[in-house]
Amino acid sequence: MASGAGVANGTIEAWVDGVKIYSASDLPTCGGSPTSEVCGGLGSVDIVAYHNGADTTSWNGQQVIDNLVIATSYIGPPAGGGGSGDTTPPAAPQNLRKR
Amino acid sequence: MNRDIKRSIMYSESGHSSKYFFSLWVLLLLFAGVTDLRAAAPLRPGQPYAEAALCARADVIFCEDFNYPQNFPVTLGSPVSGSWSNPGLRGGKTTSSDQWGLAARQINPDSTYPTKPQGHMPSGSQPDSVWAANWDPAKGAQGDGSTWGTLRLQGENYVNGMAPAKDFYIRFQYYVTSNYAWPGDPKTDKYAYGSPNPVDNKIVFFYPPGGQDNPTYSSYDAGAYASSVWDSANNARYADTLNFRVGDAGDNYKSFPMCSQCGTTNQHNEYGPF
Repeated sequence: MASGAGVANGTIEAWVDGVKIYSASDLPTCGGSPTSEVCGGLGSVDIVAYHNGADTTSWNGQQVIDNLVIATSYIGPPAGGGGSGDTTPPAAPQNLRKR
Repeated sequence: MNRDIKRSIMYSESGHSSKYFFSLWVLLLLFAGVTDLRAAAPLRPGQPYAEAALCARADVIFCEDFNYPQNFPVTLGSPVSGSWSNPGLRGGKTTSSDQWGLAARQINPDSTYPTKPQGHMPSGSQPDSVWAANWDPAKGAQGDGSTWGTLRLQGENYVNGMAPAKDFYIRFQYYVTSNYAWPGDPKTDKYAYGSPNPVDNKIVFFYPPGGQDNPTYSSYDAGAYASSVWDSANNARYADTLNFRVGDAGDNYKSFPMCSQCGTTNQHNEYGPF
């Protein structure tokens, strides 16, 4: 699990369409500055489509986001209108190869 | 982790192509110790959530289904003004003073886009809508699009009474149109590839309470974005590799699973080999 500023034992896990695609627990997730706000808890959310100001790529197309949920435990995929959502954690991936 | 992982993002396990929405869940364990308070997403009076049962779960801090466009008003002009209303936001609304990128985002009917894997998700009789950043010159404003929501200020709990979450999960659905240009994407200008900083396509980001004043220099941020990666084994570049950024300006914002900022210690180059 994570700790204070600059300590590399934080965790990030990610799932796409119910499949866990990433998990690591040796990450410095709290930044390096021991200020009062560092890892003091989530305060804001920014739904955003942003390109770095130095990037010169011409913009085109649309980025679309829907059904945002924030929780303190696993959420699960959408289950359809008015549904309760699938609250069962996904099974561990199998037959994965690292090349 | 390498291009196989990338493909699993672009092509879901059910065989959907990149034309379809996919759902992304992320666990960000930012600090030790989970506070065991129980609440639920605050209810929207007269506006049921599409996932009402899920949003009533005791571990849920916040829900937004974007199904009520009137909760996202924008007035074009100089300056552009707008807000986001949701009872889970501090004061029930985040107003123009903390908003940016208003002109380049819209709330659109979900029927505008390919059907989501689980189908439409209306709120009762209210049709399903989605958040979209419009960078298409044929359809509207171009530029960075954003909707900012303040959940709490420093020293405060969330609206539902839960203590500040240091470990949290997020879930959202994500889709880009087939003509979408990522930073460094040769799709729109092949000669621009390799331009400075083709690294940063933010999608959803999270900040501590002070972040709204100056997100880039907040004491930390965390979020999902796409960045450019070179696959040396195949001599190919990918402008849309999914990354998760954490940290602060002081440590040059680490990102995983591809951390070009990590230097010689704690390297993470899972999109490699490098």
